Amino acid sequence: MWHFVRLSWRDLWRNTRRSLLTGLVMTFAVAMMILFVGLGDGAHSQMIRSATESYLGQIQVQLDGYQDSPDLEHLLSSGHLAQVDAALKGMAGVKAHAPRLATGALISKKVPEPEDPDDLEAYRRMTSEGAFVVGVDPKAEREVSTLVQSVIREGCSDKSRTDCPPGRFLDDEDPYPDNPYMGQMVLGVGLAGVLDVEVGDTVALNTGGVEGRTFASLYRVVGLVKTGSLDINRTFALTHFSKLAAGMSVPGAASYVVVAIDDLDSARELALDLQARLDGQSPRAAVSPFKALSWRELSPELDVFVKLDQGSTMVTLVMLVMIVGVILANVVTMSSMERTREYGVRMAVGESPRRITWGLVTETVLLALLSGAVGSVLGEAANSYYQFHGIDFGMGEFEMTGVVLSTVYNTEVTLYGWAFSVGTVLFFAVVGAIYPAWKVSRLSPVDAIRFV
Amino acid sequence: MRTLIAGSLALMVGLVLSLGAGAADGDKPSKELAEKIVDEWENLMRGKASEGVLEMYIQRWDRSMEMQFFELYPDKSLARIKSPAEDAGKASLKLGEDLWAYTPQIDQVQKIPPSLMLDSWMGSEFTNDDISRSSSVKLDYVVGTPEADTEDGVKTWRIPLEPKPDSPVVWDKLVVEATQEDHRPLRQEYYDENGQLARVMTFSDFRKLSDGRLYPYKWRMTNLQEKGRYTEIRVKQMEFKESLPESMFGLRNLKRSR
Repeated sequence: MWHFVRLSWRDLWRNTRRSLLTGLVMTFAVAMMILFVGLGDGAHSQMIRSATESYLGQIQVQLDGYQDSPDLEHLLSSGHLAQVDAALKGMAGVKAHAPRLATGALISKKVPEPEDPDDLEAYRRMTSEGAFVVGVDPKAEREVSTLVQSVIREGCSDKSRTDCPPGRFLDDEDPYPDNPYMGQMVLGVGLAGVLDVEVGDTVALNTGGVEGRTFASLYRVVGLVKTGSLDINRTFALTHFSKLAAGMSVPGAASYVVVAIDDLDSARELALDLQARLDGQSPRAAVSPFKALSWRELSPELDVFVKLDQGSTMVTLVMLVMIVGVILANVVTMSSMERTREYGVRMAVGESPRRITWGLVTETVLLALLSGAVGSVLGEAANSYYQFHGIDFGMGEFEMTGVVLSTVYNTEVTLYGWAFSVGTVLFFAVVGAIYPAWKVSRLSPVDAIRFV
Repeated sequence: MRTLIAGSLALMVGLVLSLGAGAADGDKPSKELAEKIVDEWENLMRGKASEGVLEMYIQRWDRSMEMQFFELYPDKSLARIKSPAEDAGKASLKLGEDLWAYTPQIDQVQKIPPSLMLDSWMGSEFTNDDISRSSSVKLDYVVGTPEADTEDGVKTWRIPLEPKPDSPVVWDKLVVEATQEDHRPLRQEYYDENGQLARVMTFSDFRKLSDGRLYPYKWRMTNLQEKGRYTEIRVKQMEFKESLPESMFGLRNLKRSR
């Protein structure tokens, strides 16, 4: 057996140029497929990651009913939050979690009163905007989203100005713990622009609390966030969780808890797992008060988009495999047919057709393995490089169904990606070898020798 | 606020209860009759100026606010909350299409932007739009032909109001219902874009004012899309006047809390 393999190996290098050319095609095919699969996987993860990390989160724990009516009647109490904390504690695959309180509000720039209170035009010019106010815990938020990193260095929403203090995120602790009417705020850059607010200015916020009461307070703007999401830029106002909750007379309550996890593809399983853990805490309750939802449920549009993207990657992959297959089979077939005369001579001196057939297949497999190895090295090298550096499609970030997507794709190195690529090449090389081998085995030596 | 509310709602509703004009039973259900009833309704609810006190009860939260209101027709009004204490001093001012809110705790005037016009006013079943709308209902709606009906044994006319093609209104249709006998407004129905009845405003507790008009002291806005939650306006004092000083309806006065 070993002897047979060595013979095939030697046969392979009898015509170096032919084998090298065939090997080159195989090498290139393996490398290309590895890179393509890596890019497809990378784009897929990237999409989910940037979409969920910008704000949404991979999993959210809400009160049952909040998803359909996100209002003050469906808030998690501080007791609920403690239960969520306990359920998440020590749970494998969970990186961090953070509570948020979200509500709508009327926001306007706190302006010095017009000199003349009867100057009606000055009051008519005042701008107020509807804003989406989110109370966050700055320390915890840092671990679950990229909101903190989205703060722009320049403090001016007006690009022509450069005289504003530099922006930053909210202090870890509320700097005005004893003043219910004063707080810190970070605004979406678009919202700040509409309100004509820069870092250092004060804004007035009017929001509804429990029992439909309105609550007004002032906030010092410390930073502006700019993300790929127009929604966030245009409507978001971030402040301290505790301050907002107190103002709305719902101390300690949260709209939901964002959970960041390690493996994006296991979000749904982890959400189910978390749901079970939460339910396990109150086994006697007929209906669980909690709902643990993965990003797939939180943003069905994103789910559909990701599935579509996966589908189109799959179609491209199938096409790629077919092209690789046809080319490979063709190259291998042609280079074997070229040797028909040689086989005729070998048969004429007594070599059995079966031995010739097997020799041909063995040669092809050897060549494919060798090329596969070289191709793997090249492919995975490129793959690894782009895993860290990313392939920039040059379009920056864009928004899709309310979530931010990046067009810089990092590839992903996976075992199955490699195995699939090498396997495909091997398969088609063998398929390409079988036809001429079968054909040769049926030829008479005389016909084979006279074959042109 | 009452003014705001009363005025604007009334305006919007636009049915006037004409005291003297106790119309005859023999009215034909014509468009002219419908127009006449709507005009009478608007005349009843509005005058040249008015002031008073009203209580606004929000059933959803089981809480009441008392507010003082001033209105100078056609489009100026000021309302200021008197109680409860934590809301006292909050005020809103409407001048034409503009609406401002004042919060004494932070001494801040805020202009309500158009985008928030459909938001609830003070957690009630009324919207900012209800509060600030001042033009005649006939500007935005076409008055249709009345249909005869009865309400609690009283013969009534139901008058459909369809929005004009380009009018900036959210309702698909309004129906106002007034008595056949004296054209007293009983209710107004608001239909949403699916043709579903979304809100109903009813008027009751009619009392004679010093100037002789028969005025509803109770207005209830029921939100049928929110499990029948309602907000009720109970008029405490109501007086129609020849005029009120223009200076009353300025930012200076808005900020003069309590």
